[in-house]
Amino acid sequence: MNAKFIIALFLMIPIVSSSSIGIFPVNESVTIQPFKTFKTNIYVFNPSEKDVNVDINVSCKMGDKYYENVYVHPKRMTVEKNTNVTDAKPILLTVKNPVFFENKGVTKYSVTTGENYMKCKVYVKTDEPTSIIVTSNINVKLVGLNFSKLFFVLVFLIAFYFGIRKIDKKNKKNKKKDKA
Amino acid sequence: MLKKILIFFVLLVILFKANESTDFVMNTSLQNSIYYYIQTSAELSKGILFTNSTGANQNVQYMLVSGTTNNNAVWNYNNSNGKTEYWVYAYIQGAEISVCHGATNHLCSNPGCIGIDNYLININNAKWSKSETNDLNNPSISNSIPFVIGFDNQNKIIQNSDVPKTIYFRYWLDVPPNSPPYIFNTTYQIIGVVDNEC
Repeated sequence: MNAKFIIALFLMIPIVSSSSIGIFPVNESVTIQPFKTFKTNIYVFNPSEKDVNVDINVSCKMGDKYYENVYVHPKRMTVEKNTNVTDAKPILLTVKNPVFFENKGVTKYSVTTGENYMKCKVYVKTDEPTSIIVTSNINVKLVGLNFSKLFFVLVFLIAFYFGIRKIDKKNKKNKKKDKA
Repeated sequence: MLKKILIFFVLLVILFKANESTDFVMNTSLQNSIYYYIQTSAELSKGILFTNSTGANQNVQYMLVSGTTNNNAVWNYNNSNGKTEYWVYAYIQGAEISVCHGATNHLCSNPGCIGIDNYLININNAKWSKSETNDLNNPSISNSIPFVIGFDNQNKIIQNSDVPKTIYFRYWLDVPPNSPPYIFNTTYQIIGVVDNEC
Protein backbone atom coordinates (compact mmCIF):
# COMPACT_ATOMS: atom_id res chain seq x y z
CA MET A 1 0.00 0.00 0.00
CA ASN A 2 1.34 3.40 -0.92
CA ALA A 3 0.83 6.16 1.57
CA LYS A 4 0.74 9.25 -0.56
CA PHE A 5 0.64 12.77 0.63
CA ILE A 6 1.48 16.27 -0.31
CA ILE A 7 4.17 18.24 1.36
CA ALA A 8 4.37 21.98 0.92
CA LEU A 9 7.12 23.93 2.60
CA PHE A 10 5.11 27.11 2.17
CA LEU A 11 1.58 28.34 1.73
CA MET A 12 0.75 28.50 -1.96
CA ILE A 13 -0.01 31.74 -3.69
CA PRO A 14 -1.46 31.54 -7.23
CA ILE A 15 0.62 34.03 -9.19
CA VAL A 16 3.51 36.09 -7.90
CA SER A 17 6.58 37.72 -9.31
CA SER A 18 9.96 38.44 -7.77
CA SER A 19 9.86 40.16 -4.37
CA SER A 20 12.27 42.55 -2.75
CA ILE A 21 12.75 44.94 0.13
CA GLY A 22 15.54 47.36 0.93
CA ILE A 23 16.49 49.55 3.87
CA PHE A 24 18.64 52.48 4.96
CA PRO A 25 20.36 53.71 7.04
CA VAL A 26 21.81 50.38 8.07
CA ASN A 27 23.87 51.43 11.06
CA GLU A 28 23.52 54.40 13.41
CA SER A 29 25.03 55.36 16.74
CA VAL A 30 23.40 57.74 19.17
CA THR A 31 23.71 59.03 22.74
CA ILE A 32 20.51 59.79 24.63
CA GLN A 33 20.72 62.09 27.64
CA PRO A 34 18.59 61.58 30.77
CA PHE A 35 14.88 62.30 30.31
CA LYS A 36 15.38 62.87 26.56
CA THR A 37 13.76 61.17 23.57
CA PHE A 38 15.56 60.21 20.38
CA LYS A 39 13.66 60.09 17.11
CA THR A 40 14.88 59.12 13.70
CA ASN A 41 13.59 57.78 10.41
CA ILE A 42 14.47 54.45 8.88
CA TYR A 43 13.59 54.17 5.20
CA VAL A 44 12.38 51.20 3.16
CA PHE A 45 12.03 50.73 -0.57
CA ASN A 46 11.08 48.03 -3.06
CA PRO A 47 12.79 47.76 -6.45
CA SER A 48 10.71 44.76 -7.56
CA GLU A 49 7.73 44.76 -9.89
CA LYS A 50 5.14 44.20 -7.23
CA ASP A 51 3.95 45.92 -4.07
CA VAL A 52 4.87 44.23 -0.80
CA ASN A 53 3.25 44.42 2.60
CA VAL A 54 5.69 44.59 5.47
CA ASP A 55 5.51 44.13 9.23
CA ILE A 56 7.85 46.31 11.24
CA ASN A 57 9.15 45.87 14.73
CA VAL A 58 12.13 46.85 16.86
CA SER A 59 14.07 45.04 19.51
CA CYS A 60 16.60 46.59 21.92
CA LYS A 61 18.85 44.61 24.20
CA MET A 62 20.92 45.91 27.12
CA GLY A 63 23.06 42.95 28.07
CA ASP A 64 20.60 40.11 28.25
CA LYS A 65 17.61 42.30 29.12
CA TYR A 66 15.13 43.75 26.65
CA TYR A 67 14.57 47.50 26.78
CA GLU A 68 10.91 48.46 26.57
CA ASN A 69 10.95 52.21 25.89
CA VAL A 70 11.38 51.91 22.16
CA TYR A 71 8.70 52.21 19.45
CA VAL A 72 8.24 52.12 15.70
CA HIS A 73 5.48 53.62 13.65
CA PRO A 74 3.83 52.33 11.59
CA LYS A 75 3.95 48.63 12.48
CA ARG A 76 2.64 47.57 9.10
CA MET A 77 2.59 49.18 5.69
CA THR A 78 2.66 48.64 1.95
CA VAL A 79 5.88 49.44 0.14
CA GLU A 80 5.08 50.26 -3.45
CA LYS A 81 6.83 48.58 -6.35
CA ASN A 82 9.62 50.19 -8.35
CA THR A 83 10.79 52.42 -5.51
CA ASN A 84 14.39 53.15 -4.62
CA VAL A 85 16.44 55.23 -2.16
CA THR A 86 15.18 58.51 -3.59
CA ASP A 87 11.50 57.75 -2.98
CA ALA A 88 11.73 55.44 0.02
CA LYS A 89 9.06 55.31 2.72
CA PRO A 90 9.90 56.42 6.26
CA ILE A 91 9.45 54.49 9.48
CA LEU A 92 9.63 56.53 12.66
CA LEU A 93 11.78 55.07 15.41
CA THR A 94 11.50 56.52 18.93
CA VAL A 95 13.78 55.65 21.82
CA LYS A 96 13.04 57.17 25.22
CA ASN A 97 15.35 57.55 28.18
CA PRO A 98 13.02 58.10 31.12
CA VAL A 99 15.79 57.25 33.64
CA PHE A 100 13.14 55.84 36.00
CA PHE A 101 11.30 52.96 34.39
CA GLU A 102 9.10 50.03 35.24
CA ASN A 103 10.79 46.68 35.41
CA LYS A 104 9.40 43.26 34.56
CA GLY A 105 11.76 41.64 37.03
CA VAL A 106 11.83 41.33 40.79
CA THR A 107 12.42 45.06 41.35
CA LYS A 108 9.37 47.00 40.24
CA TYR A 109 11.23 50.14 39.21
CA SER A 110 14.76 50.72 38.02
CA VAL A 111 16.92 53.80 37.72
CA THR A 112 19.43 54.24 34.97
CA THR A 113 22.77 55.44 36.26
CA GLY A 114 26.03 56.08 34.49
CA GLU A 115 26.31 55.08 30.85
CA ASN A 116 24.54 52.04 29.46
CA TYR A 117 25.03 50.59 26.01
CA MET A 118 22.39 48.76 24.09
CA LYS A 119 21.89 47.34 20.63
CA CYS A 120 18.65 48.01 18.81
CA LYS A 121 17.55 46.35 15.63
CA VAL A 122 14.67 47.40 13.42
CA TYR A 123 13.18 44.46 11.50
CA VAL A 124 11.18 44.92 8.31
CA LYS A 125 9.61 41.67 7.14
CA THR A 126 7.68 41.01 3.95
CA ASP A 127 4.36 39.27 4.17
CA GLU A 128 5.13 36.60 1.60
CA PRO A 129 5.39 32.79 1.54
CA THR A 130 9.15 33.29 1.50
CA SER A 131 9.63 36.20 3.90
CA ILE A 132 12.49 38.60 3.37
CA ILE A 133 13.65 40.46 6.47
CA VAL A 134 15.95 43.46 6.26
CA THR A 135 17.39 45.00 9.39
CA SER A 136 18.92 48.24 10.55
CA ASN A 137 21.17 48.56 13.61
CA ILE A 138 21.06 51.43 16.08
CA ASN A 139 23.76 51.45 18.75
CA VAL A 140 22.49 53.43 21.71
CA LYS A 141 24.31 54.92 24.67
CA LEU A 142 21.76 55.68 27.39
CA VAL A 143 23.06 58.24 29.85
CA GLY A 144 21.64 57.85 33.34
CA LEU A 145 21.81 59.91 36.51
CA ASN A 146 25.26 61.05 37.50
CA PHE A 147 25.24 60.59 41.25
CA SER A 148 28.66 62.08 41.92
CA LYS A 149 27.64 65.36 40.29
CA LEU A 150 24.26 65.23 42.03
CA PHE A 151 25.90 64.62 45.39
CA PHE A 152 28.27 67.56 45.00
CA VAL A 153 25.50 69.98 44.06
CA LEU A 154 23.27 68.71 46.86
CA VAL A 155 26.01 69.24 49.44
CA PHE A 156 26.60 72.72 48.08
CA LEU A 157 22.86 73.49 48.25
CA ILE A 158 22.60 72.32 51.86
CA ALA A 159 25.69 74.28 52.91
CA PHE A 160 24.38 77.33 51.10
CA TYR A 161 21.00 77.03 52.81
CA PHE A 162 22.48 76.80 56.30
CA GLY A 163 24.82 79.65 55.45
CA ILE A 164 21.84 81.83 54.47
CA ARG A 165 20.04 80.90 57.70
CA LYS A 166 23.03 81.84 59.82
CA ILE A 167 23.36 85.22 58.10
CA ASP A 168 19.61 85.77 58.53
CA LYS A 169 19.82 85.01 62.29
CA LYS A 170 22.75 87.38 62.67
CA ASN A 171 20.86 90.15 60.85
CA LYS A 172 17.80 89.69 63.13
CA LYS A 173 20.03 89.87 66.25
CA ASN A 174 21.65 93.09 65.01
CA LYS A 175 18.23 94.64 64.30
CA LYS A 176 17.09 93.85 67.86
CA LYS A 177 20.25 95.41 69.28
CA ASP A 178 19.72 98.56 67.17
CA LYS A 179 16.12 98.90 68.42
CA ALA A 180 17.23 98.51 71.98
CA MET B 1 12.23 85.05 52.57
CA LEU B 2 11.10 85.31 48.97
CA LYS B 3 14.67 85.92 47.96
CA LYS B 4 15.74 82.73 49.72
CA ILE B 5 13.06 80.69 47.98
CA LEU B 6 14.04 82.14 44.61
CA ILE B 7 17.69 81.31 45.20
CA PHE B 8 16.73 77.81 46.27
CA PHE B 9 14.77 77.14 43.10
CA VAL B 10 17.51 78.53 40.91
CA LEU B 11 19.91 76.13 42.58
CA LEU B 12 17.41 73.28 42.10
CA VAL B 13 17.39 73.95 38.38
CA ILE B 14 21.17 73.93 38.41
CA LEU B 15 20.96 70.58 40.22
CA PHE B 16 19.00 69.01 37.38
CA LYS B 17 21.12 70.66 34.76
CA ALA B 18 24.14 69.06 36.42
CA ASN B 19 22.86 65.77 35.06
CA GLU B 20 22.73 66.95 31.51
CA SER B 21 25.76 67.68 29.49
CA THR B 22 25.59 69.77 26.33
CA ASP B 23 22.49 68.87 24.34
CA PHE B 24 23.31 66.26 21.74
CA VAL B 25 22.70 67.62 18.30
CA MET B 26 21.30 64.75 16.28
CA ASN B 27 22.09 64.79 12.65
CA THR B 28 19.38 62.80 10.97
CA SER B 29 20.14 63.81 7.44
CA LEU B 30 19.75 61.02 4.95
CA GLN B 31 22.77 58.94 4.12
CA ASN B 32 21.34 57.14 1.15
CA SER B 33 24.74 56.09 -0.12
CA ILE B 34 24.72 53.22 2.42
CA TYR B 35 21.89 50.78 1.88
CA TYR B 36 21.03 47.30 0.75
CA TYR B 37 18.11 45.32 -0.57
CA ILE B 38 17.32 41.65 -0.90
CA GLN B 39 15.34 40.15 -3.76
CA THR B 40 14.04 36.64 -4.25
CA SER B 41 13.23 35.01 -7.57
CA ALA B 42 9.60 34.65 -8.62
CA GLU B 43 9.57 30.92 -7.92
CA LEU B 44 11.26 31.32 -4.54
CA SER B 45 8.75 34.05 -3.62
CA LYS B 46 5.97 31.49 -4.10
CA GLY B 47 7.57 29.14 -1.66
CA ILE B 48 9.44 25.84 -1.83
CA LEU B 49 7.16 23.04 -2.97
CA PHE B 50 8.43 19.48 -3.14
CA THR B 51 7.47 16.99 -5.78
CA ASN B 52 8.24 13.49 -7.02
CA SER B 53 10.59 12.64 -9.89
CA THR B 54 7.89 13.09 -12.55
CA GLY B 55 6.97 16.47 -11.15
CA ALA B 56 10.62 17.52 -11.02
CA ASN B 57 10.90 16.86 -14.78
CA GLN B 58 7.70 18.76 -15.51
CA ASN B 59 8.09 21.54 -12.90
CA VAL B 60 4.76 20.56 -11.42
CA GLN B 61 3.94 19.55 -7.84
CA TYR B 62 2.78 15.96 -7.38
CA MET B 63 2.28 13.95 -4.25
CA LEU B 64 5.25 12.38 -2.51
CA VAL B 65 5.57 8.83 -1.29
CA SER B 66 6.35 8.00 2.31
CA GLY B 67 9.89 6.69 2.77
CA THR B 68 11.36 8.36 -0.36
CA THR B 69 14.50 10.46 -0.23
CA ASN B 70 16.00 13.39 -2.09
CA ASN B 71 12.70 14.59 -3.50
CA ASN B 72 13.32 17.71 -5.54
CA ALA B 73 11.71 21.09 -5.13
CA VAL B 74 9.52 21.81 -8.17
CA TRP B 75 11.90 24.31 -9.79
CA ASN B 76 15.26 22.73 -8.93
CA TYR B 77 15.72 22.00 -12.63
CA ASN B 78 13.86 24.16 -15.11
CA ASN B 79 12.78 21.65 -17.75
CA SER B 80 13.83 23.99 -20.58
CA ASN B 81 17.42 24.69 -19.50
CA GLY B 82 18.22 22.53 -16.47
CA LYS B 83 18.89 25.55 -14.25
CA THR B 84 17.39 26.27 -10.87
CA GLU B 85 14.75 28.96 -10.58
CA TYR B 86 15.51 29.58 -6.91
CA TRP B 87 17.83 32.48 -6.21
CA VAL B 88 18.43 35.32 -3.81
CA TYR B 89 19.97 38.58 -4.94
CA ALA B 90 21.49 41.04 -2.47
CA TYR B 91 22.36 44.51 -3.68
CA ILE B 92 24.83 46.10 -1.27
CA GLN B 93 26.17 49.62 -1.31
CA GLY B 94 28.58 51.13 1.21
CA ALA B 95 28.14 48.42 3.82
CA GLU B 96 29.01 44.82 4.57
CA ILE B 97 26.09 42.53 4.99
CA SER B 98 25.46 38.90 5.77
CA VAL B 99 22.39 36.96 4.73
CA CYS B 100 20.99 33.87 6.44
CA HIS B 101 17.93 31.71 6.01
CA GLY B 102 15.99 29.14 7.95
CA ALA B 103 12.62 27.72 8.86
CA THR B 104 10.54 28.96 11.77
CA ASN B 105 9.47 25.46 12.76
CA HIS B 106 9.44 21.81 11.73
CA LEU B 107 7.16 20.65 8.93
CA CYS B 108 3.82 20.24 10.64
CA SER B 109 0.35 19.15 9.67
CA ASN B 110 -1.19 21.77 11.99
CA PRO B 111 -0.37 25.49 11.79
CA GLY B 112 2.11 26.41 14.49
CA CYS B 113 2.72 22.70 15.14
CA ILE B 114 0.12 22.71 17.92
CA GLY B 115 -2.57 20.24 18.87
CA ILE B 116 -2.56 16.60 19.91
CA ASP B 117 -3.35 15.60 16.34
CA ASN B 118 -0.38 17.47 14.89
CA TYR B 119 2.07 15.34 12.95
CA LEU B 120 5.62 16.59 12.70
CA ILE B 121 8.38 15.92 10.21
CA ASN B 122 11.71 17.11 11.53
CA ILE B 123 12.93 20.04 9.48
CA ASN B 124 16.36 18.51 9.05
CA ASN B 125 14.76 16.10 6.60
CA ALA B 126 14.76 19.08 4.26
CA LYS B 127 18.14 20.16 2.91
CA TRP B 128 19.56 22.84 0.72
CA SER B 129 22.59 23.66 -1.34
CA LYS B 130 23.84 26.96 -2.67
CA SER B 131 26.16 28.12 -5.44
CA GLU B 132 27.16 31.28 -7.24
CA THR B 133 26.96 29.26 -10.45
CA ASN B 134 23.71 28.03 -11.93
CA ASP B 135 23.84 24.94 -14.14
CA LEU B 136 22.93 21.26 -14.10
CA ASN B 137 25.60 20.43 -11.54
CA ASN B 138 25.46 23.53 -9.34
CA PRO B 139 24.07 23.84 -6.78
CA SER B 140 24.73 20.20 -6.04
CA ILE B 141 23.10 17.77 -3.62
CA SER B 142 26.58 16.59 -2.65
CA ASN B 143 27.08 19.90 -0.79
CA SER B 144 23.65 19.93 0.76
CA ILE B 145 23.06 21.02 4.36
CA PRO B 146 20.03 20.16 6.49
CA PHE B 147 17.70 22.97 7.45
CA VAL B 148 17.64 24.25 11.01
CA ILE B 149 14.99 26.06 12.99
CA GLY B 150 15.76 29.75 13.25
CA PHE B 151 18.51 31.35 11.19
CA ASP B 152 21.48 29.22 10.31
CA ASN B 153 24.41 31.35 11.48
CA GLN B 154 26.87 28.53 10.81
CA ASN B 155 25.95 28.30 7.15
CA LYS B 156 25.24 31.79 5.96
CA ILE B 157 24.00 32.38 2.44
CA ILE B 158 26.22 35.46 2.15
CA GLN B 159 28.90 36.43 4.66
CA ASN B 160 30.28 39.95 5.12
CA SER B 161 29.91 40.96 1.51
CA ASP B 162 30.22 44.55 0.35
CA VAL B 163 29.40 43.78 -3.29
CA PRO B 164 26.12 42.70 -4.89
CA LYS B 165 25.67 38.93 -5.11
CA THR B 166 23.29 36.38 -6.58
CA ILE B 167 23.15 33.05 -4.81
CA TYR B 168 21.37 30.06 -6.41
CA PHE B 169 19.67 27.30 -4.44
CA ARG B 170 18.34 23.81 -4.75
CA TYR B 171 16.23 22.04 -2.14
CA TRP B 172 15.46 18.38 -1.37
CA LEU B 173 13.26 16.53 1.05
CA ASP B 174 13.42 13.07 2.62
CA VAL B 175 10.05 11.77 3.69
CA PRO B 176 10.34 9.54 6.75
CA PRO B 177 8.81 6.07 6.42
CA ASN B 178 5.21 5.67 7.63
CA SER B 179 4.50 9.40 7.40
CA PRO B 180 0.74 9.97 7.17
CA PRO B 181 -0.91 11.48 4.10
CA TYR B 182 -1.19 15.06 5.36
CA ILE B 183 -0.19 18.45 3.99
CA PHE B 184 2.85 19.70 5.85
CA ASN B 185 3.91 23.31 6.10
CA THR B 186 6.40 25.58 7.70
CA THR B 187 7.58 29.15 7.11
CA TYR B 188 10.83 30.02 5.43
CA GLN B 189 12.64 33.29 6.07
CA ILE B 190 15.65 35.08 4.66
CA ILE B 191 17.29 37.83 6.70
CA GLY B 192 19.93 40.45 5.98
CA VAL B 193 22.09 41.87 8.79
CA VAL B 194 25.01 44.27 9.00
CA ASP B 195 26.70 42.84 12.10
CA ASN B 196 27.13 39.25 10.88
CA GLU B 197 24.73 38.03 13.57
CA CYS B 198 21.55 36.67 12.07
